[in-house]
Amino acid sequence: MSELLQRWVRDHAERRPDAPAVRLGERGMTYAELERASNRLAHLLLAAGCSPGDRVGLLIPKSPAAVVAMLGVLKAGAIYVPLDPGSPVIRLARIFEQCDDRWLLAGGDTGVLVDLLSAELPPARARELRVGWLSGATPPAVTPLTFDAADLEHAPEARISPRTTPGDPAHILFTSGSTGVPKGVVITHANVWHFVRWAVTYFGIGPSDRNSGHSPLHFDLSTFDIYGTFAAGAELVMIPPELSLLPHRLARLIRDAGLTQWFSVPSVLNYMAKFDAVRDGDFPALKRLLWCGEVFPTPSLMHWMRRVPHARFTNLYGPTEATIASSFYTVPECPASEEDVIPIGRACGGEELLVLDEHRRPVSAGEQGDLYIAGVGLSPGYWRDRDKTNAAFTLRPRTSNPEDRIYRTGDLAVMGEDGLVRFCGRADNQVKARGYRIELGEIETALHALGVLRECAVVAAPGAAFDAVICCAFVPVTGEHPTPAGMREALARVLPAYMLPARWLELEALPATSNGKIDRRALKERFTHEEVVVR
Amino acid sequence: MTGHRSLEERLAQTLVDALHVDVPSRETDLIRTGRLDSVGLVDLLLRLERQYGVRVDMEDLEIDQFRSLGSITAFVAARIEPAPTNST
Repeated sequence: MSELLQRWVRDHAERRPDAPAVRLGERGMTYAELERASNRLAHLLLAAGCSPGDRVGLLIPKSPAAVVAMLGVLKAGAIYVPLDPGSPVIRLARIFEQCDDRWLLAGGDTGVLVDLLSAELPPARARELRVGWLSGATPPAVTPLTFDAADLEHAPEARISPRTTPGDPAHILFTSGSTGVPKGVVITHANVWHFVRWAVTYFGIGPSDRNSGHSPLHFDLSTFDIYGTFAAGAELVMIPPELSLLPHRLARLIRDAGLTQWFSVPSVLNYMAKFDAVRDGDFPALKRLLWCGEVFPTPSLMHWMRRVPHARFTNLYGPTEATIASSFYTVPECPASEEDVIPIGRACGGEELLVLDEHRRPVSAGEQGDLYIAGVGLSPGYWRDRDKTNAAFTLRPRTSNPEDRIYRTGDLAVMGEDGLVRFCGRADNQVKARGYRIELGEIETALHALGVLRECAVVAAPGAAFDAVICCAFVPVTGEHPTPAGMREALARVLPAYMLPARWLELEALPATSNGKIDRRALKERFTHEEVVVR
Repeated sequence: MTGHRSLEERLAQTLVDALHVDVPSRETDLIRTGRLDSVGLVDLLLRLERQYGVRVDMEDLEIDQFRSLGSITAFVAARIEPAPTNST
């Protein structure tokens, strides 16, 4: 049995209308307020001609208004596409065009960005654009608005009967693509519903919980922050993005807000541990700490488990294509050694992990193979990209059921005798840096397009406070003298900030392996070494 | 004033060296524009300690102190000994 994602808010708005649902700093909304505001938005969208299945871009900073936008779009039967207001406008326009979007919901401080985006679209597309302004004063923008925040105040509040089914897409999330074009992962209501139902039960999330909202809204961890909270009738406490720069301020927020659940990528937890931001017995209200997206370095995990012994620590694993997480491992006690490898564990309810060889046959316990995922979390595929979908999502070997699909994660793994799966690295050039999934090839493509480099290679190397820092080694074209700062500025026009290399090294030639390929391992070691020597 | 001006120029150069970013103006919001992130902040703090002798305790930091070249200059100027050669 699965339902539509907006259902949870409606249920809690009926039963506990005044319970807090979401807040950012002092600005908060109750379940009843959230329900009414999202109804009003859905009415405005429908009145303006939004149809089931339409894509609606969201260009709104993390805020309760962004959550209203998501729910309003779902109630109108449409699909939301969260856009990162920090991304370069060229990238946003490419995603917008790829989705064949006509609708854009904006608010906060994104007024200028709306104009830039509209100017970046082909004229015919820009003319079709319908913009709704949701929060804050209407900006002196050039792009005409279809409705604004005042219209939203006065729209009808009546409930709207469902216009979609659970198998329909709820949102599309864009991730880095190796050839330089971001890929849109389609996620259905049922995909999210199944994971959230399982997680709320497994973790025992309830109405008294105050859950962190740390991840950016275009990132799939935030799907769990939002719907995991609403399914339980709990409160979502959004974390201002800038706070992630300062570990002690983050710690203070966890303490002052009395958060009971923290969920993020491990790099921020690692950052807090390295700068000693967590006190002994800190965060007395914290019941559980969950992480996903990359490996949590065991020494930092041990630090956390010693300082916050009353919390439960759970590693979640899973790519966006399988919705939030597919496996889990609750660490039973503080690891004895810094060398201990924390498993990615067992499949969550309704999911399945398979470790297969190159002929897609199961490998024996203890042997390394390619990690595949099957089950209720699998996305229908990439938005309007049959080739990429067919390459990554295939039928289970020897199945006769056309619905029995498996997804190749690109991760290497071992299934132990204990039934626990352990992650062993990547089969390709994808890396995780501060939790962001980055195809190094996408950065190299953008660098080559600058036209000033004869050769370049981008690698991820460990840094002082972070496990993976993006590093670039380059060889200029003869006669060109590009500076790292100049190249970074140029790259910032096409790539999001988290993909910009932080370390640069100019060389006369890139190191090569014996068969003539770029020796990435040697480069990585060189950057690791420089980190120690120079800094 | 001369001392403050030259400090700002030196810090602008440090930002280029440490963060590999151009700083369009002393008011440019380095954080909102994505120029300064947590990797960059850690690098910058290390440089401030090594090159300027300014030891910064992460615990006492506020975001606004690092928002722009102007605010970084004010932050550093308040923490270093006045340079005797440049002050008039």
